[in-house]
Amino acid sequence: MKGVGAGLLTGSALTLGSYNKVFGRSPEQQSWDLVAVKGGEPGVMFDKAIAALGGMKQYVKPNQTVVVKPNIGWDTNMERGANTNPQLVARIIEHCLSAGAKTVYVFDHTINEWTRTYSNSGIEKAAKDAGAKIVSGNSESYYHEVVIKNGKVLKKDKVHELILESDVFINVPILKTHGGATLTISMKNLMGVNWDRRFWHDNDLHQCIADFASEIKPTLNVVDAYRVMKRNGPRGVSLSDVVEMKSLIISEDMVAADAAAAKLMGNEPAQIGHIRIANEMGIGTSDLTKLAINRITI
Amino acid sequence: MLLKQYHLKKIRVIIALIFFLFIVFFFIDFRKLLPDPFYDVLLYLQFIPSILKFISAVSIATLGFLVVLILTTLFGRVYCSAICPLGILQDCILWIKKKAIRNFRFRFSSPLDYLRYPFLALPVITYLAGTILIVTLLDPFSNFGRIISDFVQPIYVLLNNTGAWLLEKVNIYFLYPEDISLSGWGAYIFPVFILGLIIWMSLKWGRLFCNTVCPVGTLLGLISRISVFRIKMIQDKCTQCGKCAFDCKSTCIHIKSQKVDFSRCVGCFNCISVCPENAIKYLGPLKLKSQPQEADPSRRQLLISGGLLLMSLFGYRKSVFAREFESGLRGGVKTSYPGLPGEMKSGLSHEIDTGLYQEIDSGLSHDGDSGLSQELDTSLSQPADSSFIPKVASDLPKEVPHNKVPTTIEPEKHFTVTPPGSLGIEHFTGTCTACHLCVSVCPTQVLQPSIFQYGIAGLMQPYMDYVTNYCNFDCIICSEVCPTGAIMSLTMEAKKTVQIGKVHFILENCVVYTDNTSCGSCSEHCPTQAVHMIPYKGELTIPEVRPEICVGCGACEYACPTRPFRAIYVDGNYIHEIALLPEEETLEEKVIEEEFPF
Repeated sequence: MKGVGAGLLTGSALTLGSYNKVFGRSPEQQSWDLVAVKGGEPGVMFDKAIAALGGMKQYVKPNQTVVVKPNIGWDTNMERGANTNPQLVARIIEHCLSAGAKTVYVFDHTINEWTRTYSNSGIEKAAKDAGAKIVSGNSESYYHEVVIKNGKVLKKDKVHELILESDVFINVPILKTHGGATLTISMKNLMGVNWDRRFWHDNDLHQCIADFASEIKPTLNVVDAYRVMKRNGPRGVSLSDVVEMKSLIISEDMVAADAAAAKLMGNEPAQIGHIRIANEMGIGTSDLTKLAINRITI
Repeated sequence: MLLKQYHLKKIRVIIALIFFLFIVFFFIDFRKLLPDPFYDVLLYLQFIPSILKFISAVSIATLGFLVVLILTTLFGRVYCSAICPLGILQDCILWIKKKAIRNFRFRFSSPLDYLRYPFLALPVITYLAGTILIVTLLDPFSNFGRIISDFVQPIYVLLNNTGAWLLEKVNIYFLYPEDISLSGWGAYIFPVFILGLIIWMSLKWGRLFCNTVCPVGTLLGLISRISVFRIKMIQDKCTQCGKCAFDCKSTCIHIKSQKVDFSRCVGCFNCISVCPENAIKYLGPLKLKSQPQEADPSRRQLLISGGLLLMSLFGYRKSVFAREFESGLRGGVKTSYPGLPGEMKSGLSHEIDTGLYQEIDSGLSHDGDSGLSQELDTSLSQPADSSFIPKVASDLPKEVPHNKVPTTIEPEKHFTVTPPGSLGIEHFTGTCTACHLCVSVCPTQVLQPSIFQYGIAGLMQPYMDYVTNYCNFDCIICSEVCPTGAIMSLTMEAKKTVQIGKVHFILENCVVYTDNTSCGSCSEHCPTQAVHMIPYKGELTIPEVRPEICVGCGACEYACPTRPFRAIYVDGNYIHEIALLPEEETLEEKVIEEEFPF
C-alpha cells in the first residue's frame, strides 16, 4: 500500500478532502469524500462512482500490484447476497488493469470451505475472466504478524501477505446484517484478511474490529448494496432474507462508507459499536454531514 | 488360441495398475478432482464393500461381489492380482525386492489351513453375531484404504504444500496449501501394524497374507477349486526345472508332483511367462480333460457351503432391514430420508421426537446380541458393544484459552455424530469398515477416524469431529463415495434437512454472558439459523437455539471461541431425524422516503 491513494490515507481522514484538493485532482473537478449510487447494475454503478472520484488512475498507478478483497465467505450463490456481487468484483478488476495494474489478486479468508465458496459465489470465474489471480486465504502460512500500534485490545495480528505486499488494497464488502456485529460492512470485511478470528470474537468483537481498522487501511472501499441481506446475516437462510437495493457506496474512508451504508439499512451509525468506536478513535468520520457526498441516481 | 499365453501377465499388470493407481489417487486426492463415475466404476468390484452395500441397498449397482464370484468361478482368483489394491500393493513390494535381490527364489509351501479357514470363519461369524469389527480389521480394501489415507495422503499434501510454498515465492498461486489435520494418534496404530505386517510377510513369504489372513482370498480360494480355467502343468513337456515355482509368490507350485494348488494361486501368470518349455499353461475345460484329472471331492461340498454362506448373509440382511424399518417407525421418522430408495415423504417425517431421544438416553442397558436370533424389539437398545463414550476425548482442553475467564461447564454429549446419509449410529457402525475414503475426500476434514468414540467395535470408523471443523451445508461428497453403503447416497436437498445431531447452548459459558461483549460467531456460521441472536443487554445480542431446525452440522461448536469448554455444541442423534425447515417470512420492507437516507 505504497500507492498515492494509500499515501493520502495515512493523513488524518478528516482532512482527506483538502488533501485531495491539493494533489491529484484537476482543479475544475469537484472532489468527493463519498460517492453513493443508486438504481443501476453493479458494474454500471461502479463505473459512475469511480468516474466521480476521478477514475481508477487516481488509485492505481501503472505496474502496481492490486489486491481486491471481496466477501467470499459463504458457500452460497450470488442471489443469496451473502458474498460480494461477482459482476462488481469483475468490473473493479477491469478498471485496475486498464489503469495499468501489473497484477490484480483476489482472495478472502473464507468461513466455509474456500474452494467451494470461491466457485459457488461466482467470484472465482468472474475474477479470472476479468484477468485477476485467485489466491487462497485459508492457509496460515500466508499470514504474517503485524503490530497494531493504536490497538486497545488487539495489539498484534496476523495479516495476509497480499495485503502487506500489494501497492493498492481495494476492499469490496457486501452490506449485510450480522448477528454479533449488527451490520457487516467495510471494517468488518477486514476480518477476512486476518488469520485468528476467534480472538476477536472472544475479546470484544467491536473493539477488535476498530483496532484492526486503525492499522490496516484499504486504499478504497466499495460497498456492494445491490442485493442486501436484511436478516439472518451474515450467512442468511434463504432468498427471502434478501432485498434488491441496487445501491453502491464508495469512499476512501471506511468509517464514512460504513456510516452511509448503515443508514441505507435504516440504522444510525452510532448504534453500531465498531462504527462508533472507530469514529471516536479517529480512524475516519461517521458524521456524514461533515462530508462532501456525491449522490448519483441512475 | 489367439492370445499368446505369455501375454497374460502383461494384461494382468495393466489392469492391476489401472485399478491400483486410480484407487491410490482416490485416497490421496483431497481436492476430489475425479467425478463420481470413476468411484462408482472402480470401486464396484471391491468384494467386501460391495457385499455390505448390497446388504444396505439391493440393486444392480451393488452386485459387484457377484461379478467377482462369477469371475472367480471362471478364471480363478484373478481378483487378487488385478483388482484388489492390497494384493497389488504386495506385488509392488515384491517387484522392488526382485529389483534389489536378483537371484531371489520362492519355494513351495503347504497351505496353512488351520489359519486360513478360521480367518475366513471369524469375520463371517462375528458379523452375523452383530459386530463388524473383525471385518473392519481383515477387509483388504479397507486396510489398503487406511494405509493410503492415513499415511500416504499426508505425504501427498506435504508435497503439495511444498510446491505451493515454492510457487508462492514467485507469486504463483496455482497450487494452494492444505491443512493436515490428524486426529488422535490412537487411530493410526492398527494401520501401522497392518502395513508392517504386509511388508514383512510379503518380503518373506510372497502372498502368504492373501492366502492365510485375508478372508476374501480364502473364500475366493474355495471357489477357485471349481473354476473353469486354471493353471496346469503339462507333464510330458515339463522338465522340472523349477523356474515357475521360484517365481510363484503364492508358493503353490509343487514341482515334484507337477501340481498347482489352485486355491492359493492368485492368477498372476508369472509362471507362464518364465517357463522355458511352455509346460505350464492356463487351460480351459476342454484342454483340461485331456489331462489326467483326479476327482476333487471337496467341490460339491464347497458349492453347498458357499451357497449356505450367501443365504445366511441374505437372511441377516432381512433382519437388519426389519430392524431399521421398525426403529424408523419408533423414531417418528418414517424410514429416514427423502431421496433414498423407498422414501416416504410424509408429514410425519417432520416430527421431532424428543421422547425417543430420552428413551435412548436412559436406555443405555444392552442386550447380549446373538446374531440371527436378534429380536426386532431390541432395535433401540444399544448393540453389545455399547461403550459409547459420552465425552469426546479430543474435546478435552489442549490449548491455552484466549478468554480471560476459562469456561467451567462441560458439554454433555451422549452420542458421537455420524455423517449425513449414515441413518444413525446403528446403521453406520454396523456397515462401515473404516476404509477412510470419506475421510480422504471430505473437503472440510470434519470426518476423522475414531478411536473409541463408537466403542471398541467401531474402532477407526470415521466420526464428525467438530473440534477439527464442521460439515459444509452444501456438500454430499462422503455420501457419493462411500463404497460400503454405510453412508447412503443423498440428494443435496435431502441432505439439508437430515438432522445428525441437535444443538445445545450453555449460557454460562457464552462470552456475551461472561464478558458482556458482542460475539455472534455461532449464529454467523449457522446455515439454518437454528442458532440466532436475540436482543440482550443494550446493543448486545445473545444466542438462542431452535433444535428443531438444527441439522447438527457443528459449525456453531467449531466457531464458538470460548475455552476450554465451548458454550454451544452438538449432541449426536442415535437415529438421524429430519429437521424442520426454517420458516420463511416475507420481509417487512421499511420504505425509505428519500432516495439517499444521508
